[in-house]
Amino acid sequence: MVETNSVNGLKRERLAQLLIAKSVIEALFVGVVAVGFYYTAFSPHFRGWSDVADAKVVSGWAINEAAPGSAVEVQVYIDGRFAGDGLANLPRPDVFKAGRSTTELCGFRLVTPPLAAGEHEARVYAVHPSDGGSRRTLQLIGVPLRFRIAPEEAGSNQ
Amino acid sequence: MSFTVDQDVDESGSPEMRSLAFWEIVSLTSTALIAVWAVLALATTRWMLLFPVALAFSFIILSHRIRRESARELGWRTDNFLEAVRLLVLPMLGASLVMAAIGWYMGSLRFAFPEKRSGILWLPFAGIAWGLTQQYVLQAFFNRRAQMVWGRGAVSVLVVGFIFALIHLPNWWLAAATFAGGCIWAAVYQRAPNLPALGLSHGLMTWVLISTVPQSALQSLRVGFKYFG
Repeated sequence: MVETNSVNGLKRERLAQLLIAKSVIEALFVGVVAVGFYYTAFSPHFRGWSDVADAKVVSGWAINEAAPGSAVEVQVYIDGRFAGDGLANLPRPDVFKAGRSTTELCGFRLVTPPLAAGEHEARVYAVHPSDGGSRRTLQLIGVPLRFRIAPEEAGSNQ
Repeated sequence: MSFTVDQDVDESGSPEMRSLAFWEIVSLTSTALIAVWAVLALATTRWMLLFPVALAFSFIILSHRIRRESARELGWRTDNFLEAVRLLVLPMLGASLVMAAIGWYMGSLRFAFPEKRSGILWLPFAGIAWGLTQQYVLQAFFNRRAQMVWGRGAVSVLVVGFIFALIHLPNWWLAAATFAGGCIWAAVYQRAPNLPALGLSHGLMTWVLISTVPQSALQSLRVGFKYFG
């Protein structure tokens, strides 16, 4: 009887240890999967800034430190709506001289679409494809820029 | 529902052992849900799916060892193969007729083999191997642990069916089919624990399912997050 109790006690202990070990391993694995997904889908290697937003243009610079030779694709959203896209491949010697980029060709300049008079907000995002192109994520470059359109500038970007 | 005693499941264990069996069920169910809802959706490579699969099988095998369950007790045996087949034949015929009727009504009957000739040999082999693997996990682990917690009978059978269906969500057609199939296979296992017979049945019923129920409903048997696309 004593021996049976001791065998059952050992079984209980081993099963409990097995359950705890599996839970810990699983929690670590889920953490790795989550971090791996975030790292892949939202690359931490984008650098840049949105310098100007007005009735005519939205401009700034953007680089991908993981792929310094390739131009970053950027998209601009004004008041939360898609307003245009392009490549950050225009000369920005100031950024290069400041040591923020390994190439001069990292600037972007997107034409502002016709807007109503009043306050607006522009956000520029770097486009990041992942998972073999089946997924594309946007990452904010710099900070949102607020700008005002005067009544005489409204509805035109000429 | 009556159940003859043809297997050796330790139902008379202490409350602690029953509690541990319950947590074993919860733990393995969570591994399956993590695999289909998180890993399939988020993993950067499909190979990462091997990790939860390996973890689950290591856990199952270690659990068998700690509980000192023999291969024969688990259902790896041949002496009751015909008895298990006899119990399976009627439910399988009934389920096949229901699925064929659904397929006929919805115009989705397509009893066809793959275009490639090599696929003709591969399909039944893969179906039965996959069915056997699923039945091993479902019966030799979930069913036996459920019997430790709730005893033989309807409750443990329904628990097995529920877990099997849960893993196939949000594919409602597949969840309904796996709930029904899970309950039938669990009831048969409790009367005649024979994994080869159940694996054969699983493989055949999967073939009938994909040959009858509309493909738009089955979504290529996708489950978890991948069901959405």
